[in-house]
Amino acid sequence: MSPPLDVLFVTFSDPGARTAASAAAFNVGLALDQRLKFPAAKAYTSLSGTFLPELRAHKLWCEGSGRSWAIQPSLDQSVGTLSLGRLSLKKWQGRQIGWFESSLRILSDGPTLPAIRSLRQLQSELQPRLMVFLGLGAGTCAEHQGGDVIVTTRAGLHLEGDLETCLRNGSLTGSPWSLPDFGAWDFPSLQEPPLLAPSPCYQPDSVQLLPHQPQLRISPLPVLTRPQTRQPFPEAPSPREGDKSFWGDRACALDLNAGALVDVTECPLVFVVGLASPAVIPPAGDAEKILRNAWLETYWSVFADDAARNVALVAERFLQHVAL
Amino acid sequence: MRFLQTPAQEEAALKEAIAQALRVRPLGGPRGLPELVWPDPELAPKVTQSPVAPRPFDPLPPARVVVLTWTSAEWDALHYVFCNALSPLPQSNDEQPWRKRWHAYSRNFYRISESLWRRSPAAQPGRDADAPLFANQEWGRYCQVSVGCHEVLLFKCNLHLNQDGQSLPLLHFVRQLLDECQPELVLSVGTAGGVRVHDLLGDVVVTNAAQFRLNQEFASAEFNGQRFQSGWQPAASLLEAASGLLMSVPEIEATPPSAHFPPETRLTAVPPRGPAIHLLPGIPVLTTDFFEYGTTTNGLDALGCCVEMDDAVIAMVCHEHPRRPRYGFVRNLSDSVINGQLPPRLGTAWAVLTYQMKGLYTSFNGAVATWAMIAGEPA
Repeated sequence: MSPPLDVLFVTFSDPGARTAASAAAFNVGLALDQRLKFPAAKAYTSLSGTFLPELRAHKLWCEGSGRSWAIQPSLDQSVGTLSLGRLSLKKWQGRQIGWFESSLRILSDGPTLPAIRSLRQLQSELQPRLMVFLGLGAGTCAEHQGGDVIVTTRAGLHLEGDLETCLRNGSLTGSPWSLPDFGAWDFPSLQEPPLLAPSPCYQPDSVQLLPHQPQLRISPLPVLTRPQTRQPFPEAPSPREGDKSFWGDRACALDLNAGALVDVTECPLVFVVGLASPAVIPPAGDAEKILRNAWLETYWSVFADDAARNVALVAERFLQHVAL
Repeated sequence: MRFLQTPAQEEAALKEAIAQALRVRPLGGPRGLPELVWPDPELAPKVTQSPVAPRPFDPLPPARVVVLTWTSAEWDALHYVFCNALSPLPQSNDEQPWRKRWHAYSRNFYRISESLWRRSPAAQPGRDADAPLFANQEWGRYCQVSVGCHEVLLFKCNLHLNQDGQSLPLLHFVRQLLDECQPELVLSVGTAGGVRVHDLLGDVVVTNAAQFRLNQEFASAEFNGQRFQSGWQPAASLLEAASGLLMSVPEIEATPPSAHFPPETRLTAVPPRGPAIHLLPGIPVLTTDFFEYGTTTNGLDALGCCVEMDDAVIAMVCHEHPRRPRYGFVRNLSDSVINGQLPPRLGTAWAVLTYQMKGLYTSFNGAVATWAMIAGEPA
């Protein structure tokens, strides 16, 4: 019998589309592994057969609707027995810790949201004393910068598009819980990509910002899971109050998967979200959404690796300071 | 034609482009277009078609010149320049009464229906289940006009090289059109991406050559890479008059994406001159089956004069047709050369956005240049 688990870290696997953003989402797990050196993970297959029908149905729907081009359903990655994720356990400075990388995701597996059930099952079986979600997201207010790390104890689902009518949409989880004092932080400085002229006859031809120092931000607001239907990104929040996409008064970040823990109610939760992009100012007009998403992807390609590294740093420091 | 869009997406983008243009440029004509005052009323286009619509399956009437255009924005501009007397282009694009005044053409359409139905969205992910052509079951619509002594058939074509599947029904259509109209000259007109660094948004390039540059659905087609050139020489006699009718099309202002830039930061285009028509015989239009654009670093200017998605098909069919009609291409630059230093996704976004927001206005210039080419043709 395994010893009781003190802390279980939860990350999510690559959404499947081969973009900088999806690769980076995976890198949160890689960055964590680099810091904490987990042993080889084992496939977590408990009761996986109960998930197969809905995943197969969703895969068929994706193929029928041409939707699979952007976000591959999780089932595509499974060969033989479906693995719900990969689990690795180890002892670290006297504590028993674990890392679960979920193969199921909110944005890719259909309106039954099997990732939620899978994580509830995992919590029920392993009974960790604390679960810590690690992921990447987009900042929601003007002061948020690429590479910042947001820590909160609350998360929720705020889904749109095909997932808007999901039963669990709108759910929030987490409760006030005393976060440890992380001490002073000195993340490596980062630099936003310059504003470049789109074509040769612009003046000036570029504006470059000075490097900035990413911050650790403890927030009372939840991280909200709000993926775009056809992009491996969360919605791009606006930093301007009054814009319809301003989320700064409701969410500390928008992400792809944190809301998968909404049904985990029997242990405290902590959400550590690295900002792979700042909030993105919407250009005027709906037709210009294409430009906003392009900026979002550009930011993710620039900041995601650093944000993932910063998340892993915070996770390690968290282990050192948390009292259970 | 520049970008894969469904008819609904096309109309939505056009509506927004018009709304924006009217805010900043309320010119004398509809939708922010300039008022047209023809330099020589004798050479102004005149609608000649019968008010009684022929049946859609009747053959097309003969015409000395056939002008093909492709998208909604291009069609709007062409109508405004050539056919406004038939039914004025309204300020809003919510209602399109004038489009019904163009005659529908669906002769032998059934021959391609099956191949269109067979298109599999699963095999071509990311596409709509049906080709846009299916929306209205017709090849397109046409209007007959005269310019000087030339009888002209304007045709808004619903077919596209990269949307209708590998059976390439555009080939069948162009052959049928040549058989029925028996034109001496075929002009394909519409939007294109600029590849030459000194060409500006709203400039028009005119050429008699086209070359396939196919990289996706038709990458392995036997005609990929082929270059075609006709004996048509673009007419220069009315260039000056036409240049006086062109409208300046300002580039979109680039504003910061985050709140961390200094207030009022923006990059503004400062074009060194007004719009121009460039006659470039022998320099081919590059016809792609994907959305490509010229950048300051990708060297497309060494290969052609602009990039678009239909013209080499027209050239190939004309070249192979027994009547060997002359052909030419009048392409307005709806996105200028993109900064090659931009990340690829941003570069694409700028090219698509500029095309969506400016395509109607650059197409106006293209339609004016088309008029100049036809009116300048020898009798």
